[in-house]
Amino acid sequence: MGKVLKALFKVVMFLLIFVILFYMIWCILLFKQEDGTLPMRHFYDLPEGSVDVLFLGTSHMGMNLSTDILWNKYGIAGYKCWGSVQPIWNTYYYLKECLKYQRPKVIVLDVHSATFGYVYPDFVIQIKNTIGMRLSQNKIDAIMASSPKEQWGNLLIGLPVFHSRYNELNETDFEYFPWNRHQNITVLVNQNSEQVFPFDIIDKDQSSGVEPLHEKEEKYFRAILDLCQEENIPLELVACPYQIGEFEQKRYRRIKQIVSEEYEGIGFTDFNEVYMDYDIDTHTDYLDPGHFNKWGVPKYTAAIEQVLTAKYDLPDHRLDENHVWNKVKKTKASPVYEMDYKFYGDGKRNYVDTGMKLLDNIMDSWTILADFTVPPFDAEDRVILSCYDETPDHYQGVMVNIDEYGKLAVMFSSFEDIKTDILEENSRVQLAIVKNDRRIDVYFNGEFLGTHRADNLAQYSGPLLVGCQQNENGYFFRFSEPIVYDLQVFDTVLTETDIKSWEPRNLPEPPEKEYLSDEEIASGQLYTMDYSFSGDGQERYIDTGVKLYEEQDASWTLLSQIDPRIDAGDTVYFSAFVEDMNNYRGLLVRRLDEGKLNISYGQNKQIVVDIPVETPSVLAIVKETFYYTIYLNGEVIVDGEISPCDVHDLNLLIGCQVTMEDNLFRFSGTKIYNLEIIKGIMSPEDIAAWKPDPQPEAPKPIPSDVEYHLENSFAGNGKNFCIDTGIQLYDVADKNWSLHLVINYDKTGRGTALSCFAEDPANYRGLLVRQIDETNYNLTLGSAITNLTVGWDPVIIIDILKEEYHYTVYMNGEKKFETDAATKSWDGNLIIGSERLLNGSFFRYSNQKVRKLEVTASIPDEAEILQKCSEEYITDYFIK
Amino acid sequence: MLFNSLAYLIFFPVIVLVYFLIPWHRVRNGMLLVASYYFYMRWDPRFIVLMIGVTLVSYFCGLLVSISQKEEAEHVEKDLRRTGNAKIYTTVTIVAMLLVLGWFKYANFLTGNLVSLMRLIGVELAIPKLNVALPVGISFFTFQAMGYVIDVYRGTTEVEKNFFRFALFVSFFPQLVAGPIERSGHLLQQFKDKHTFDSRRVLKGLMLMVWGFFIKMVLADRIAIIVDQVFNYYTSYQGTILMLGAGLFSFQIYCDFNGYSLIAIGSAQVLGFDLIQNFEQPYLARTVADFWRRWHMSLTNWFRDYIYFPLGGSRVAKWKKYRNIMIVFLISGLWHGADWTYVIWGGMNGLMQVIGDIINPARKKLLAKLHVNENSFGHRLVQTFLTYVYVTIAWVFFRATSVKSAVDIIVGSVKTLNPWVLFDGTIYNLGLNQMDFWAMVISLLVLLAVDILHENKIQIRESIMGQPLPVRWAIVYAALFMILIFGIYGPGYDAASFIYFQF
Repeated sequence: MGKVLKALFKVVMFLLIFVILFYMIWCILLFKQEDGTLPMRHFYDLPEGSVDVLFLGTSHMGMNLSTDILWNKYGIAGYKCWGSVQPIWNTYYYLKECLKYQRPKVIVLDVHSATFGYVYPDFVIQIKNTIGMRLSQNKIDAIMASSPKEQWGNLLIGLPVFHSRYNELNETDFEYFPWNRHQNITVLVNQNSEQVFPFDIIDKDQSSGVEPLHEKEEKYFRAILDLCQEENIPLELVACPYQIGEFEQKRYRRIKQIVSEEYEGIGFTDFNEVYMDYDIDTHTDYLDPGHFNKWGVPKYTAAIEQVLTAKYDLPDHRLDENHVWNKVKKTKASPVYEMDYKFYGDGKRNYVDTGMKLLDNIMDSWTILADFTVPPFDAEDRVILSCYDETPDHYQGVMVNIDEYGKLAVMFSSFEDIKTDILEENSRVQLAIVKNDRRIDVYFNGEFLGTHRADNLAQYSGPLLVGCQQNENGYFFRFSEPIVYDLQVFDTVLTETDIKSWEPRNLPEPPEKEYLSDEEIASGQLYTMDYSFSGDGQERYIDTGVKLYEEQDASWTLLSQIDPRIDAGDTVYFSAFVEDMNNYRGLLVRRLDEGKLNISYGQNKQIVVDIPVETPSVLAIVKETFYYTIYLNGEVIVDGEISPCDVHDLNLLIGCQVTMEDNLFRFSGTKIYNLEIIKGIMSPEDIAAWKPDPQPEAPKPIPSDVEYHLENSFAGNGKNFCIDTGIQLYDVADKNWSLHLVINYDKTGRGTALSCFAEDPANYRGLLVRQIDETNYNLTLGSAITNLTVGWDPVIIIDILKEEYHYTVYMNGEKKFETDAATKSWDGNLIIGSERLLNGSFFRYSNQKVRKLEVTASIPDEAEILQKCSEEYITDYFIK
Repeated sequence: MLFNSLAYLIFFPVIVLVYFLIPWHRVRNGMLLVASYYFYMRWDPRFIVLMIGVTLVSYFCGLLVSISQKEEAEHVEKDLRRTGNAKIYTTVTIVAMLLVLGWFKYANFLTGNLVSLMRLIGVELAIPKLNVALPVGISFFTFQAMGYVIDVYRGTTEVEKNFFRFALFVSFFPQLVAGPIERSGHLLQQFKDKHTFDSRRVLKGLMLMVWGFFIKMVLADRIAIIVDQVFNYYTSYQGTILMLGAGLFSFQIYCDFNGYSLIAIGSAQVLGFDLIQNFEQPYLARTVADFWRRWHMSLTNWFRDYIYFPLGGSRVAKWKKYRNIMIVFLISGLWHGADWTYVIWGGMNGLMQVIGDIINPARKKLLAKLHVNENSFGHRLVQTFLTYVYVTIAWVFFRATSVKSAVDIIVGSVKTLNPWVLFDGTIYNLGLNQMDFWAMVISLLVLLAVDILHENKIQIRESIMGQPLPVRWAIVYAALFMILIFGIYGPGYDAASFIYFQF
């Protein structure tokens, strides 16, 4: 017997451990959908008696109503137990299950699901509307009602349905063990969406008559009504406004008929008929045909609240400290904004951007608590807090400042405000502003000061600022000098008790400005110039690869040693500048006239300063988050000017700029002897001490060999014959060479005799020698184009001499012209008898006859050229 | 009812509990018979008639054979002329079983081939296609019944007079659907013994079932996803992917069939019955003949005893032996399925054995000349690999839907050399994502390890049983939850549809 008992014990233990492990795995793998599953699972975690209003239904209830707003604004303890496309039989079993744990004062049901007309929904709908229920008779009944027989076992056990989720587990999946509690008011789904889907709701009289409900749906609909009556719990039926169809209209009428004729005391509000009474705008308040966006949710919630408070006496639980949502709220990250340090306004540039867009949704409710000193009355500006739209003809929002008489004013528009009596300068005061829907209450030093009905308040997407304002273009202005000791923003409506009991925190002093140490300067180098830069105004530039404006609040120091003398091209020293005529921004340093330096920084800010005309200057630019300090030869020329600008990803370029289309331009002949970029802020002392020796000249690129001698005469066939000489005339743009070309003249000849030409539409350049008609040859030298008129000699002897960017052209030993034509380099070969495209293919084959071609790096003098020409005349005129 | 179904997970424990709670042996057998019939009827209740019919025919033929043999014996004693009735009844059984099989399994195949043949000589036949469902397990229980009567005729087993016991032998639920094909001498006797509850045996049986479930649900059904993708859309793939699909099919069918067999053997073991082993590490075989000694052993033995030996076996002239091998394997192919692809598959397996036998002396001579030790690891490995490759090529015919597609797959897999598809992420687009793919690879390595241990006569279950209880349980829990989590089962759902909120 003992053996049997031992074996039995083992079996029981084995099964027990198995069940525990199974349940743990079940909890991990369980679907965590925010509709259907989680609302039901979270419901089980609520303490008994914590729900006053139970909201049931489909996504029309779950996504359109905010129980957060109900709680925050009205103190109504409501809970949504819903699922998207939830069939009404699932709603019925959810209700039955909910009533086992809570006894709400009223139940609100969205009757949309009573109009669906189907027997079984899609399998996923079956899953999410049953799987979150605890194992119970209700769950079994719900599954049997929801699914065909073959799925009963799968849905009941659950694991066969969701075991393959091992592929998609995340942190949340490990938060659903039995010891975890999820007591949030509700799960939010898309309630902050800014998507807008405009449509029109059909007129309520568009159809007439009634449509019977589907048999199964009517059965469970009635079961819900009966259950509520049995339990003696008031039931409110609602139909959320949406893009309703005619048959749904008819079914809602049928519901109305059932409720009014067969049941007593059950209300039914079809919001499709009365939505306009609640300020709901179908053109702005929906994100799709059935669900509200962030502007619609508060309106619909307010509408539901009105329906509820008109009929039921629901307690305000916000004052009940023991209520679970008060506890949860306290443990949640509320307030939503807290200042980290004391704020000292300097009237010049100091401010704090809280990032809180208080008026982004005018239906939002919030509370501001602030503790600050009254700034001096004689200060030019006395703004303490602002979230205020400065668009002309649109001045409105919320702003706290001190008026010219010394009164503290909470302004809502040019002519709407709440003011205190005259205050003492530098006195310390506490202010609370509580926005509850459209009502704004102001408390001064813990006492109620006044209220304002903000009916005219319009949406404004700017943030709450401390110590300044922001104009319509986004620039900060009206910097003031208050000291703000504490500032907290809550996304809830705090009660008077909360406000009176508020104790400002003793915030730390703002941190001292931290300059880089020598080691940090050494290690924080983002770029250091190795060689002096000397621009050629044509093509030379340096891409430092450093993105100065990738982050809006980045801090860096740029040190440069620049020469004021510019010989060629444009006058840009360096740039990381967006050439957007609507939004010029970034950094651009260039010379204007001689002795004038122009520095553009941040967003649309610039300065023109004098610089020495003969000696190099040291220019240092320090960007500290949004503030710029600029030093020229040790003197501060810009002192902490604020200029935040939109981010961009342009690299800092030396010697040129880049267009909006990503093309380089304004190649400059500027000289920069040193340039360093360091991450972080260097101290003024370190900057003053920065006097480096000029970096050495960059080694010049070595030009390739140009020696070439055409061995046999060339006679083009105009179809497919040419000679690639293999030499490059422009691999270094300013290389020297001379070219001796002898062409057998043919008056009917046309086309290219010689080419070393870049067919680059953005920058055609190089050498081209082409016969264009009976008597004219066209010469392209660098970028200059010239015609060369030939006589009737049987041979044409052309000598082209190139010294850096200077060309001299001789014909038949006679100097014809000289020209300067600087170009960028080009790595194409010299071709006889055709041209070449960028992709390497030959085209424009000609029938030119080239008798001789000699290219050399040396530059002959006139006598040598003449000598060569006379030799050509001596030789036979005919092609060998 | 399938083993890997929720129904079986309820059915089996209930049966085990009831079985051991019933104190009376006869009632236990009766209960098992009812349970087996219920098990069979869960698939299609109509076919229980067929099952009973097969049982009745073989039962009475067995009896008649036995009676006739006694008469014959008396005739021999009295020196009278033999009646030959026993042979007649045996033949009747064989014909009846083959007719049943023929009707349900081969009728359409035969008529289809007849129509094609007649078309070749210009005669158009219009034979309507038979619309009959293939009864589950028909190939198994008809063979088992047939084997019994032949055994009675041969005198290698005693006739079973108890109809219910015999009915249970034909329909015993663990091996009803997919074998092993039991022999009357082995299983029938066990129904006469009373089985007591032996916790050690039960545990061993359960462990075998868990292992069976693992290789069926975690491995076979996971591999099937890739294999189905590759074979169904073979025209979309080339080279390495086709090779991978073919190579994996070898493991799919092994895991599928062996998994099922193991669950069957394990289930029977829990109840106290010992079923014959069906697989013995087939992919560690070194020749095709060796492979067939390890693959579906109950069927191979059946063919050996009832076809190969009666034809003369190997103790005949060489050509006859080869003929016998080819006959057995062509029939074996046909037994597996009514299509030419199966016949070719069977033929290929037979042919390789014949070729292997013919070239064996030459091969041995060559190895001796080259001083290759036949038992060296390298040689064994090469042999094992080549056998696997050949068997895999044959399996392509087994899996492909037509001879043409099988040829296309084989040719396609060697025509293009694109091994980079193993590394560029292509393999994760065959139905299994990266995690699932590697779960498959790791599980295959586990299977390989287990097979190697078994090959080396290491009894894993015995080793586990020898561990301390926490280790033992941890292993079992790990296996169970591996199956529950990583097994391929349950209704599929469209994950994407969860993220959409509809009205």
